[in-house]
Amino acid sequence: MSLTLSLRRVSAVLLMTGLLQACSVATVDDNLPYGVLNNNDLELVGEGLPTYLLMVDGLIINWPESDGLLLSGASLYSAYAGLYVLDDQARAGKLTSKALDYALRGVCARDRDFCDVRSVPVPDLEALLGKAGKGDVPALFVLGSTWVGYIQQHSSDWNAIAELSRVELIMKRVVELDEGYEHGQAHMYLGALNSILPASLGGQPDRAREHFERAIELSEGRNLLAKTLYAERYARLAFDQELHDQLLQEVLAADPEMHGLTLQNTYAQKEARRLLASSAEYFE
Amino acid sequence: MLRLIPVLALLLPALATAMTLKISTLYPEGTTVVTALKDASDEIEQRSEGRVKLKIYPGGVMGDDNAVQRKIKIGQLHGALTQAGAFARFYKDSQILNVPLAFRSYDEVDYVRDKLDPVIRQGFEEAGWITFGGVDGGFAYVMSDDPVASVSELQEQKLWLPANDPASAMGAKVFGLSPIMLNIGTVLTSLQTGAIDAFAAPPVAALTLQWYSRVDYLTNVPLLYTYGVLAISDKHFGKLSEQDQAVVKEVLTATFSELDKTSREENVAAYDAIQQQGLQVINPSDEQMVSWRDYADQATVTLVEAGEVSQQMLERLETLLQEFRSGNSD
Repeated sequence: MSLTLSLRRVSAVLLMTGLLQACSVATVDDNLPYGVLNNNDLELVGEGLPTYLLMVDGLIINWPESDGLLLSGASLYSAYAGLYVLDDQARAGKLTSKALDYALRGVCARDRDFCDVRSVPVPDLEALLGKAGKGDVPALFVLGSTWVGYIQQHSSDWNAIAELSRVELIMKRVVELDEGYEHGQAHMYLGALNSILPASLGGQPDRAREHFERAIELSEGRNLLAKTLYAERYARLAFDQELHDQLLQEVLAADPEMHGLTLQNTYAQKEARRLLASSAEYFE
Repeated sequence: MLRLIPVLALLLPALATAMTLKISTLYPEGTTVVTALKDASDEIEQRSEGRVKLKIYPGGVMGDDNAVQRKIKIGQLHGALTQAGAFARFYKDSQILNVPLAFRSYDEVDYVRDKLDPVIRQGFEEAGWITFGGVDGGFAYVMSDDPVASVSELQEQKLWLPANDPASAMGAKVFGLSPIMLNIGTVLTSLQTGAIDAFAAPPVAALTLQWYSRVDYLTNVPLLYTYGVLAISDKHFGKLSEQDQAVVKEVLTATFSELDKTSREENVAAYDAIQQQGLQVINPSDEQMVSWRDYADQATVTLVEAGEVSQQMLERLETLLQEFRSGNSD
């Protein structure tokens, strides 16, 4: 009995140290999240991920200044909230808050200049981002994507809405520094950010279309979420049913397996089925 | 038996003489307003036993206000939810709530709207539009790069006003402003480049469109009250049976009463949030306030002279405000 327990303890410690080493030597985009991101079984990941999240929490308690752990924690919490906690807004709000907190701590641990990204005036943030280099791209991308998830779950809070300009600046900078990063996903986020409002209310749907198309181009059509969001956000806003249905058909016909995108693509296909089913109701 | 069900389902629409009221709005899909309208549609459909439902076209997919009104005219659409100003040409006195600096607080707005909303509703109905009560749009405030406490300071700003809005252009002229008229989509870029350095808008718009991020000050003068309205053309509404008309009116009136309340809460929250985002509130002195009101009174006179608001309606507003202010000063 006691032997089993102590063995378990040892293996847990070993596992954690292993993970930590992986994180401390690797850049943010490596290793830890890929077991999750490359999986094509949404259900399996949904059941397993909480354990993973708790483990990362524990690691962060032990190594609170590890930017790699913090940013991985941010990505994982954000993905879990975005993919699995769709019907419980209070809980999704809590999880995305935690994700954003990790992301903010992560960029701060990497570079003290970035500790105030949330509170400095927007023009100052723009200047700060101007100093960022290509090596900052992974951290900025995690911060930006986590922040989008946070705002989405806090859209009734005007202070969250106000932060959209910060996220847009971050993603624009990622595009300037390395637009192909993570298969051009920063373009996908910029597409979504620019299609929140119609042109008559001050939105920029034309710009949104360009970003979505670039995201698809950079991923050679393999980022299926870019197509699904292009359909859901842009085609619906532009009332273009032909484009909407064509994009979604392409998503459903595609193979979701792609390094770093498999889980997201599987989710995109699930969404595409839902959107196609409501196409007639929306457009006709 | 199971095989029969699809056949029966096919027959159903043919048996019922269903009427779908097609409504356009600029509010995007997923917003409180669009969701509330869809819920209202479900309730109407259920209570009218499938005879009436709403079809909502969100996010301005049917075009701007002018395009939408053309489509209503030819029957392609039946109604629209938009800022009340878009329907003002059918019933000019609906602009009584938009008179510059008419209100000093939301309490005054509520007191006046309680009395004038039914009047406005009836005015629209006589002009051929069925409405269901206004939705609070909040006060528009001046927000600027440099502090603006007085009208003369406002005159020095490169102030943005919406293009194609004759009423605000008229007001600006009386205030001695030389506003820069731009399309709404270019405001943020123009603030960034310095082509403009001030604008007047409700905090909700300034936050949603991120304009707030390029200015530092908000002048605590409630320049203009704004509200939205759902108007359905009587031509189409009149085709419903009296019983169904009553159902639609009852459900939508309840929906809009609720939306009005939640919008107010959002507008108040946005005013707080914009300060949390770092905008400093500038409070004009009593003397400066007197000057703001003088200019506003002159602008109101111009509006009456131009036939935008009737003298009779203006007097009604003034009487109500006096009633409220004397009641409050007790």
